[in-house]
Amino acid sequence: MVDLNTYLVIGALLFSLGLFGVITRRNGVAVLMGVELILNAANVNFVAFARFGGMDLSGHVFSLFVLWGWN
Amino acid sequence: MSGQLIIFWIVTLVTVLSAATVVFSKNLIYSAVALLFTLLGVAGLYVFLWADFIAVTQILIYVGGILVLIIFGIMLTHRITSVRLSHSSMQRGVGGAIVLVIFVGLTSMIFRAPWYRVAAVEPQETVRQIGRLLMIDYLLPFEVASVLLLVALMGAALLSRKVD
Repeated sequence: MVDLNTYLVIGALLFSLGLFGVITRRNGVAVLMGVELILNAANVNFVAFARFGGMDLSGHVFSLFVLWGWN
Repeated sequence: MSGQLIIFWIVTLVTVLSAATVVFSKNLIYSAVALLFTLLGVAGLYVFLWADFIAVTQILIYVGGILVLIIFGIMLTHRITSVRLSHSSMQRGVGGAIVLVIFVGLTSMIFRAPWYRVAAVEPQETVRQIGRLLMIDYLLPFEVASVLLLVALMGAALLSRKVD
């Protein structure tokens, strides 16, 4: 029903908003929130490619690594 | 329009709007609470992408761990007695122009690229496959990540200790 491009555009939107937060915010915690948005955008792309690319679940493992590395 | 599609677009709308609130809000606490809804919305997107384990992990780690950590950090570093925990932005025009250019470039790339896609079947179980991949194909990055977390833990303990 929903295509791959939809998820990629959502990821691009999240990435752009996060980048805007990173380069315009003055507070360190707020910059950190922008970084969180960027990482979530990357995760959405990983999982979307794992869903639509017809591969195995390596994309899930990559997004798990992103989650752990941030923690 | 089916019900599933309606729920998908609601989740997407919540995610993107609260992400915009995170970035544009003047109040730091409002940003943190909007980040909560963004992370929950991304977890919902994972559910739509057949990634149930990632969705649960997202809720556990991000919403349960990192967001609480961020709110603790805000409350410990700011004067919580003051009513307005405002935080300002700078160079919004230049930043917005740069980000807009990047977004337009990304979107045109997305719609122009010939993505390789096949009709996938819904996996019966994801946790078993993820576990096999982690313990067989990606064992070395897994161990490196665990060593990294251990080093971060030791570094935090070392930094927070009083030197005598």
